[in-house]
Amino acid sequence: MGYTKIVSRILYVAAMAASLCYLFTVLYSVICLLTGWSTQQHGNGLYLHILVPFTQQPFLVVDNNMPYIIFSFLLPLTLYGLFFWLSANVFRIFFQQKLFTQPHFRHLVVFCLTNLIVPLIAVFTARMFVEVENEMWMLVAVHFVLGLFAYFLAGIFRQGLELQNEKDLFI
Amino acid sequence: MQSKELAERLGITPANLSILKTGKAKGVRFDTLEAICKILDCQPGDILEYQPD
Repeated sequence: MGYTKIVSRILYVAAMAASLCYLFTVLYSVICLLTGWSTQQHGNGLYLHILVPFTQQPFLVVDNNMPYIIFSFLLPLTLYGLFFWLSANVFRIFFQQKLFTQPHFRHLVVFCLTNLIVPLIAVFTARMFVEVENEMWMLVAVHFVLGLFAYFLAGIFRQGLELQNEKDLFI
Repeated sequence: MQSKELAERLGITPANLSILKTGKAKGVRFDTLEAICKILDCQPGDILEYQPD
């Protein structure tokens, strides 16, 4: 159990850091896109460079049209920020003193449902406005499988929670 | 002796003592039973009673 706690703590920090990076990138990009600050147009306005703050160095290169910016740029970044945030919540469970609790079970259910449903909805919505590459369906499948694993893990946690509650009534 | 003091001396929470007193507990550990008997200077039969369903 000692190693599990160490590994889960490392993964928690890594996932949380990744999530914050994605979400800060989204926030920074939205500010730049809304205000025009730290952006440059290229290719006769076809592409937009979002620059590294206070430099002229490109940080992100995006197609300069609204459907692309929303569905192929901001939406995936936001969803991956959310994915890593929820992953961090799941990893956090495994270095807590008490494993089987209601909030932990809830974290797993949210992680499960998010992986099963959100990528599918996001890709279906996106393909109405932009061209979706075939690799995206692969990602949807990967997240679906991840969601299924989380579903079974949540099932184990539900049983563990019931046993824990029963054990708590032995005084 | 007040419930709070008894819980403290038994080493259990007042909430758990309340569960014991109201009969909501699924079971009593021998350690807890021994501690209760020791503190209250009684026998298990003095605090346990069989009631048919």
